[in-house]
Amino acid sequence: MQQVERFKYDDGIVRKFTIATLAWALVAFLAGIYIAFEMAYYKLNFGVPYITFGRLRPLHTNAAVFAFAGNAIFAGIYYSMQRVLKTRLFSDKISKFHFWGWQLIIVSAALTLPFGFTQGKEYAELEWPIDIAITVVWVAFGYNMIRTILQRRVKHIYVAVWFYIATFVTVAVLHVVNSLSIPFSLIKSYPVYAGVSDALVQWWYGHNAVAFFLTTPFLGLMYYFIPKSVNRPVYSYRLSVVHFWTLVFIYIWAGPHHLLNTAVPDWAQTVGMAFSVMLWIPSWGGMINGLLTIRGAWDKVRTEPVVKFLAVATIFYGMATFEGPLLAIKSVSEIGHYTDWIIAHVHSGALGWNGFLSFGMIYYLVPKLWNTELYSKRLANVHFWVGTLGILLYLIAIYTAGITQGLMLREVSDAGRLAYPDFVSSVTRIIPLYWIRGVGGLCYLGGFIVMLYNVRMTVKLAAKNPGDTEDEAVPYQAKESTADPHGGFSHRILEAAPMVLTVLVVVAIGTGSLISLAPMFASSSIVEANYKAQMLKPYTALELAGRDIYVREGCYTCHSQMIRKTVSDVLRFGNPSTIEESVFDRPFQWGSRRIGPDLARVGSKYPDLWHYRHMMNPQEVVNGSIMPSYGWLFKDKIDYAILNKKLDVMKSLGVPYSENDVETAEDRARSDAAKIAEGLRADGAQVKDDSEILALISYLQRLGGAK
Amino acid sequence: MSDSKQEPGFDVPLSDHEYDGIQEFNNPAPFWWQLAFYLSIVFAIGYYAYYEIGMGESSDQRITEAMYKIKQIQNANKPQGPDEKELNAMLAQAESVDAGKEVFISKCAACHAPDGGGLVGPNLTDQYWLHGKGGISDIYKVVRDGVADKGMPPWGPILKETELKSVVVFVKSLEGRKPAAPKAPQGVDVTQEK
Repeated sequence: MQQVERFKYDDGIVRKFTIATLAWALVAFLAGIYIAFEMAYYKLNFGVPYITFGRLRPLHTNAAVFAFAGNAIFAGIYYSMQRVLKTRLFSDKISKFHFWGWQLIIVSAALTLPFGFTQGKEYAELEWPIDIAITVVWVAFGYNMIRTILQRRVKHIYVAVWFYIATFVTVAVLHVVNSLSIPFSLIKSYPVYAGVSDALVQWWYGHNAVAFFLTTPFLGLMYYFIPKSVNRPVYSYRLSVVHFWTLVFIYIWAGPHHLLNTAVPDWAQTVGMAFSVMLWIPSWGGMINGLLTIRGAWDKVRTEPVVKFLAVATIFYGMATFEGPLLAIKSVSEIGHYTDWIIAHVHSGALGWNGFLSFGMIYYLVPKLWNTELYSKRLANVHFWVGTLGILLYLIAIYTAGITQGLMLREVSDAGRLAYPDFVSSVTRIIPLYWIRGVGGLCYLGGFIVMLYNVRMTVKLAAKNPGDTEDEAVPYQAKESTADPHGGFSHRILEAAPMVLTVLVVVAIGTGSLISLAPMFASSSIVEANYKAQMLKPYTALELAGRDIYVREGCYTCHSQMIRKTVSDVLRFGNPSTIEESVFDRPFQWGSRRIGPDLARVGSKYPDLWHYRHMMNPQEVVNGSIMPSYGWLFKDKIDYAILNKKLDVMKSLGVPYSENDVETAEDRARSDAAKIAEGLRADGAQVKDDSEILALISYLQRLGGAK
Repeated sequence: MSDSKQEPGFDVPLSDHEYDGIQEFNNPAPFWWQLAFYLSIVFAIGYYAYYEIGMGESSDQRITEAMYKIKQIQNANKPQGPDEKELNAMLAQAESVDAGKEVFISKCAACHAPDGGGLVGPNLTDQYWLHGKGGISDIYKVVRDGVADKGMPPWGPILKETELKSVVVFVKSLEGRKPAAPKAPQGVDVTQEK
């Protein structure tokens, strides 16, 4: 018999990630609460561009997903992986690089998003230099993980590790493919995809970022922390095999359910919906395995805060993954899409599943990492109840808001007309619910602050240098090979061959990715044919400048540019949007939420002066509007000098600009702006010839009217 | 119960499955879970086949038909043309004019100023008119159908019939008023033409 080896786990890196999780959670929650109240009371941006909803919302989502959940994942993975593999992490240096690199990425996100440096694609807002940094750090994390797996002292890798592998592989693919873009300056770029292609790639990414950043890693954590904290065996090994593979295979196809009833080709929508329905049961496989593992120890749910958090998180996971397929049904999507219903759905996942699972995990980890007891179980229970109350307030208010608005907007009277033709009337109706949602957020934050105190006291009362945990194990090569006692094909073979398992995961996610992205390649050729035939005009230089302002201000966080093929959309906004109409849109700006009306056909609906006054003071033009004033657009100057470069990059991406268009971009933009300014002045408005508002007006007036 | 106790995986954890103290049972997945999974697969295949291979309508067909039906309903419920007599009668009633004023303040004042003196849109108090000659039926048509190329939205689909009439009456009542900051005249002086 080979001798037992003694080794130490790297607990220092887990402590670092744990502290980072707590710090960034605070940032994410504060940003979320702030924008929640901005929706209840639009003046809360105080005229400051950096904290206006459109710029702050991406900061909130990025902080919640990549900073809070991201650090929680890394803490949990590094802690559990070492232990189930019986080895220290492969390289302390890579772990440190991973940690500091990730924090740097988060800081750079916080320093760019409020300043309007954004790619304008949800959860993928970060610009190209940061995208490259993310790729490098993510690969470092993956390499560290794979090498750690390869040096393990157990023969088989545990189910948690399968989920970690799927996470690494898939997020890498998603991030790289979705972020491909061509820079036109040190910090800004245009995506290589346009319009419908961009939409399909983005929601393939967006949906699966939720799947492989907020689901698979957390399922892995669940598979470690639930059995550990209740001290019970996992309910079913075979269920974990089945639900792992079905989840990994099916999830990747479901992206187009974010684009139901839009201009996306029918068959892609149908595939997205069909796979979403099939996704329900694999998702519940994870929930069942988690809850039935706790079943033998329900008394612990009463007494142990850790188990409380983990159990409720798992229940929220079950609720959210039932609701997902439901919302993916076209007729349900017709009501829910673009409304707060989706926001509620996301938050039952984020606050309930990701948040509570992270909290439970941290209450479990902190005493272990600092070699002590939790300072106060009582306070942890307080956190649990206040947090739960916060989630309930949030969800009840926002589900009600979403369904109310969805139903109001689609109601058609007996005379065949919209029952609520004024969009704003559906907004003012739900404002009280926004206040309640804000209070719910405050409760959630309040509970979290109790946790911060509890953790702080725990660490304070612990011994100063906690050090690394020691363990011992026999290297597995020395052990007898254990034949499968159950016979037949055995998943155990894969568990002993992690690289093969990794390759199979790549095949599983690759299949769905290729097939569900195929329409993108097909449709881009359709579109090309179309615009050549129709001689569509690309954006003028000034319109493009305006479009970039639209993206910078995050207008897409409140306005869609996609009239769906639904009666109420057509009655309200005009004919359904077509693929051709967004053929020059890099990035596409179809949006996912209508806090204000759709803008796909807003062009020439109002005179320039209307837009001028509306951007200056929306309430003056639209009674009851909750849009903030964009006063800075009247002072800030259009960057004319960069326009030649912008058009040049667009031309290299295949937009049909002539050499002359590129060379004269700046001059033409200046004269176009001067014309708009002249018209505005004739109507009595004061405006300078280089004011950004002119570019934005020029863009808005073009929407829906490409000839 | 006693049988399953003997078999590893049910009440006895699998023998060689142990990770950092975590063991695994091998319970079968619940029956309803398996059933629902198979049903969802059958549904997904059937759904796809119906819409993409079979006779299911395309999204374009669906919306075209739905809008056709809506148009028919709208045509059946088409508002009657302006009844000049009725409008003139309303003009004499203070409550109709007041009701119109309310609509005007909430919908029209943003562009025509609360006192009708004009802002984005033209002054409604003077004798200069861009569309029609300022008669009550002319006003009715412009308010109902809008003037697309000038940015005047059609209010017919938005306002209720009574609101539409009362706001037209109110606009007519503005004639000859002296607004605080009248916009420069636009259009034709209808008094000169006569």
